[in-house]
Amino acid sequence: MNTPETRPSILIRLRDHSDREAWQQFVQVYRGVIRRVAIRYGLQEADTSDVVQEVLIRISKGIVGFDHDSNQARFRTWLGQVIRSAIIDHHRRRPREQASGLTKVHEQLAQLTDKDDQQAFDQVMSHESRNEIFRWAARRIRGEFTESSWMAFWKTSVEQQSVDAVADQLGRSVGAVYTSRSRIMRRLREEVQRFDESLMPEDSSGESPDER
Amino acid sequence: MNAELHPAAETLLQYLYEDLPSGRAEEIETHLGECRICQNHLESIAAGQDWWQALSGCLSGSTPEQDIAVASEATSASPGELWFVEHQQIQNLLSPTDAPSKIGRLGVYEVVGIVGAGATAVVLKAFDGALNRFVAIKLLRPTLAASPISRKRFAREARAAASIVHENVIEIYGVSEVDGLPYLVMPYVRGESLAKRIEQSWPMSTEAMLHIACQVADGLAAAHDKGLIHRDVKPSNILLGDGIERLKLTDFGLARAVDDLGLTRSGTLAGTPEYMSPEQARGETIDHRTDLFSLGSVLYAMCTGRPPYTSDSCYGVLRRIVEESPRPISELNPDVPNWMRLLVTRLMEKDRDRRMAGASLVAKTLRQCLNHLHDPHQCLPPELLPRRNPTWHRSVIAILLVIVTVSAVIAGMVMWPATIPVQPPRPHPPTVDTESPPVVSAEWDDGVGQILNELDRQLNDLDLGIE
Repeated sequence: MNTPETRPSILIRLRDHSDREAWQQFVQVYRGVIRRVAIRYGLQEADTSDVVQEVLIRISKGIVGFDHDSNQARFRTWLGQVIRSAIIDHHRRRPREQASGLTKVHEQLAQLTDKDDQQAFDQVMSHESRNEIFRWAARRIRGEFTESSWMAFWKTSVEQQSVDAVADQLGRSVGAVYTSRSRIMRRLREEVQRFDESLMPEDSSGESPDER
Repeated sequence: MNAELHPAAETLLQYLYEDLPSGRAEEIETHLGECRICQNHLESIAAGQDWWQALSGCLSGSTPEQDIAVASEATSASPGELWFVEHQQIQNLLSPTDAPSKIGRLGVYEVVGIVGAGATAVVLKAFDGALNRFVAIKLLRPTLAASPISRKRFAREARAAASIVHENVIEIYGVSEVDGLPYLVMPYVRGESLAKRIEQSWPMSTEAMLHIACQVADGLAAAHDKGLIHRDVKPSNILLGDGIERLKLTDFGLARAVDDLGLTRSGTLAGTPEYMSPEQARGETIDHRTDLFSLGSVLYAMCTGRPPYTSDSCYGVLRRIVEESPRPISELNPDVPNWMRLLVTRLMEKDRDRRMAGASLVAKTLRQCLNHLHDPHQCLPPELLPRRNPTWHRSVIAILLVIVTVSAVIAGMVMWPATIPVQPPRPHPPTVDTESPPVVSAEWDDGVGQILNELDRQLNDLDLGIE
């Protein structure tokens, strides 16, 4: 049985620059997040690495001054602001180089700087970070389960096939498929929370599953 | 459905955590097959509704296979990606510059930018105005510089590496220090590393693999002759030019500088251990043969497109290096010739006494293989012919001996006193002295921004791989 994780989540541990593990895992996840968000806001694929680099540098500098009492949700908001401003800076710096897409860049800039769109940006941010964290967690735990268990989990939950059909395909009992998918889900949840405890709303809002 | 059969919440929790005796667990599994209530109950213990609903959105788009495929890549995230944490510290070491496109000065060099980092060092690209050329500067990582041992070691190893003069070992222009932080200056090599090559254009031809391994072995032989061990032979330390004809081995001995500090406070290893030898993984004393194991691992990676040992964690990799055999090459790439697989096995022997004895021998063997590849009439080195089973071998000799003795006795009895003419042993035909194929020299171009672009591309590729 797994011992409960007593260490703070990855996002909290980042304040310590020498915590390489935390930083490594943070980069594994957020490199993808920053890239996706940047592309969504008009960056060329080739330019994203500049923004990724810029954001990571800003975060490593800024995190030192970050309030120790503040929660992870606030950290994520701050992270979003850093990414947003890095994208804006990038567009401002080189609009001329992309003359053909100039109008589009201006539109993107207008959108990014518009306060009303802050909410939309935050949504994109939280959507992309959630996806990346889930993928990261799935990769981490994949090796703990057998191929057949993993397929049972994947097909029933990600691909949303019926448990009966999957049990049939895999030649396993219905009970076994329910078992695999629940055990893997539990591990996945643990791993996601290890990264960011405030990621899923039920933890921060106290919303119970039955309300849905 | 019988309500009294429902397991208690506590029991289901234990079941979820695989904390029940197997008999009881089986009962529950059977019950779960029929009971909708318990199915729902178990799932809600595992995670709330939100979690289940989020899954298809968060994980779809990647198949489970893709997910497995990128796992090794994701976990081998090198500390090189983390240099930005030290960005400010490095910036502080530089003195201001007037040159507009430069970020600062280091000694006589105008630094263009930070282009990457390894476990031990940060790499800067800089311009040497006096000699009108770009150089790469390797600076001990500021986080390691706190330790005087680490500083001394880095400087000592850098000086030792500078003494190796060989076309397959990167030249070292100079060793110096700034604010007590040692650095070494090397040619700025344009072109990709073997790591990049494997990642982008695998599979490789057998000939290319042999060419590369052969030059690495040559470079190692030159170092071993001077009593220097590389300690960190891996694809990212093998710099290919535009072609593969004159590669450069880099980072000689530098891994040693972090020996004491390699373990971070969180217990993870600073470097990528995938190519380490078992003796290194166990933390034992090592000799030149550790490099031969690593060379074997590099060959394995060229053959299969991935390192021999991967795991979710550094510790996992180390454990597997010590305990397990890598997955057979034939399963991953059936096109690799038998003798090549045998060669990898001979280099990756866990017991170093069973490995091929030295880098020059390895280089010689690889050349013979190349000749064989060009002209199948040329013999393969005897080490790479399938090994005979020693017990079988011994019994055949024993039987032959018996036959010879018995027939000799019989012949003696029959022919005695006639004399048996003795044939003088025939001399062996002279072995063909095989020349290595001419090496086409490639120019090493000092292109501006190449490494930077390369790094960026690598970052992007990594990201694309995860998609």
